[in-house]
Amino acid sequence: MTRKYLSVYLLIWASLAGAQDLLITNASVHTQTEAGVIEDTDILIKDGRIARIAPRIPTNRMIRTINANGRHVTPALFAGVTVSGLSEVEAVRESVESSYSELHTELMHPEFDVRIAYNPHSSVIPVTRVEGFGYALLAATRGDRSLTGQGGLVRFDGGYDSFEGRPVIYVQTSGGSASKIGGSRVVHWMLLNQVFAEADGGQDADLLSPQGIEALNEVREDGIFVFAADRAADIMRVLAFIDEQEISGVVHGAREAWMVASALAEAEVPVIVNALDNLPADFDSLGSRLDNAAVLHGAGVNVIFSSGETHNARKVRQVAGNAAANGMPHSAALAAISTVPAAVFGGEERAVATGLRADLVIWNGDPLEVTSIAEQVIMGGVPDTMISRQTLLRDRYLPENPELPRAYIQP
Amino acid sequence: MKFPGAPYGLKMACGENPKRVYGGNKQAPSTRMGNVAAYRASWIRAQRYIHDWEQYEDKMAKQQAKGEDDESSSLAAALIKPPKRDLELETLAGVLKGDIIVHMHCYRADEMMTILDMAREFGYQLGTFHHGVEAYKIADELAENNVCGALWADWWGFKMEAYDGIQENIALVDRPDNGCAIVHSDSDEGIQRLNQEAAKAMSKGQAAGLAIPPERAIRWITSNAAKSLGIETRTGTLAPGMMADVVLWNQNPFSVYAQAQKVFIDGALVYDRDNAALQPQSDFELGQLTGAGQ
Repeated sequence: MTRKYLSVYLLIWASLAGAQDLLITNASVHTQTEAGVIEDTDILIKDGRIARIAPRIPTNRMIRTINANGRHVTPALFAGVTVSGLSEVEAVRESVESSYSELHTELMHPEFDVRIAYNPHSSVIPVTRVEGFGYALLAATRGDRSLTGQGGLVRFDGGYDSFEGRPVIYVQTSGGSASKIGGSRVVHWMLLNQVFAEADGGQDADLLSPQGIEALNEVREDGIFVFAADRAADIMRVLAFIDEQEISGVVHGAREAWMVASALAEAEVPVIVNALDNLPADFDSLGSRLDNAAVLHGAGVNVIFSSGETHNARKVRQVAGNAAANGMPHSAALAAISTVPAAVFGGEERAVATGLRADLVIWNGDPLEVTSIAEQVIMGGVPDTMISRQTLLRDRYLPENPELPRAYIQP
Repeated sequence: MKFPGAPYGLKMACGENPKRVYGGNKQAPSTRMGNVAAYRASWIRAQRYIHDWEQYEDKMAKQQAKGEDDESSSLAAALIKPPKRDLELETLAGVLKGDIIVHMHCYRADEMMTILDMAREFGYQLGTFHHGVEAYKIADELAENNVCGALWADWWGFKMEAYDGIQENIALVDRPDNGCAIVHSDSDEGIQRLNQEAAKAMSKGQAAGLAIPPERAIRWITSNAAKSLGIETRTGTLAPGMMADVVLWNQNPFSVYAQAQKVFIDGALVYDRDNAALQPQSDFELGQLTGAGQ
């Protein structure tokens, strides 16, 4: 009985105070809008959205308050192109859902949509979220087809259906990825041209199912094609294809993109790069260099960062930091892991501004610095528990000389 | 080039990799038990090898002691056959004699404990566990056994034995007296920025409440690494008499913005950020993409 009364009381209290109302005080806010960084200000959150940003906002005393003590606040960050929720352990094949290969058909499957397999309860999601990450781009990764499938933005709020933005189809163009389809990157383009022609309906469909045609045409109309390409010549081919087909496209990898930065800027095609890719890893990436992102940004290209990691997706903050250390403006490097990915892929706007969803992070230092730590993640105005499987393992092994074996320590 | 006078090292591997590689060929050792059985069988052969050589040298010494002038004695000495030289067993014997340092690829805590038992059984000193994603679970045992851990700052989840990775691993291995933590990368990307990897591990440890001043954390990428390689009396610390292997940073190295300004090896300036003439380029890179670019 007591419990019942208590929960009724809590319900009333919650409705009085506003279930998701929150006040963050004395923050240094990286708004990622034209307002820039606002020092020593408060953020009032009502019903999960930012209601007001101003110094010393007066509120009723019931409201939950977090004093940021001058610390940095950013939007919850973008974790990169990942297979979060699609891969529990990379080498345990049955726990990985992000690619298809050796199907009994020779078809391309643009209708292969990884979002169907997304598991928000994967340990990877909280591990990533507690480091300050609120969303990612789910990827269909390389199998044995040129079109590897479909994905899109996902928000790390633990929801089963937390997808947003435009549908995304992933396309391979490199020689390395052609090994299973005949051994030449020419085959990618040969088949891509055929697939698009089939989807136009002008010829028999040999490479697409009716569902595939529907999926491909949907993305042609409203979605985005993400082309994996590193070599400058391949990037130019991608730009030509985007132009011919009148589709929206993004270049992913783009290690040699600095060599064709003005062409990318002119075509208004964004890139997803890893600013730590500075070595010639193969013959597609001989031009890899540390200031790739800085050159691209300088030329007016929209830059997004991804570390190429899923379990360690949190490393993308270090990627952005290194870009900033090598010539990219700090605010642009931060935008590349906060506002830009959402804007490019059609998700809800990520910035700290009135009316926007309150997915925020309070940092104990410069958000791009490797020694900084996400002290509090806030999703939709709700402070995260900041617990992950890894924080629990840490807390189990942190005490010295425990009385009982550590399996009995329940942090 | 090989570090002059550095001891040789032997890499050995536990766990999933040998399981996968040999198991995939339907060949022993295809389990963790198989791995350990094979190591022990090899150590036993190495012990026998040492014994055979000792016996041979003993016999030779005795014959020689009988008198060098004695013709029949030197004839008898010539009839004593040396054991057949075996490079595999010679290497393992080098470990048992303490001349070669073992670098042990191992992830799981229970497996590392088994390896420590095995080292005790055969009387050799284990050098370093590499990767050691679960090293934090046995930090005290590693320190007690004088074994280092060469560990990642944050990489995890790529295989089952890397599932329990935590970012405090390095800091927790560093915690006990005599703890020997090393930041490693095992990657061509990470090795270029080990200062950043160490910075992440340090700040995670500090956030967990461990007192880790930067002058302690720097050991993870300097003196502890030198200790692991058996060259700690020559490099890894800045002290009179040590090799002049020095980096001049443009700021606190535990920062994403830090850049190596000048690098000295043996006192010679081998890299200078402000002098293009002192920025070496590999043969492979030379002439690539000639004429390309904007």
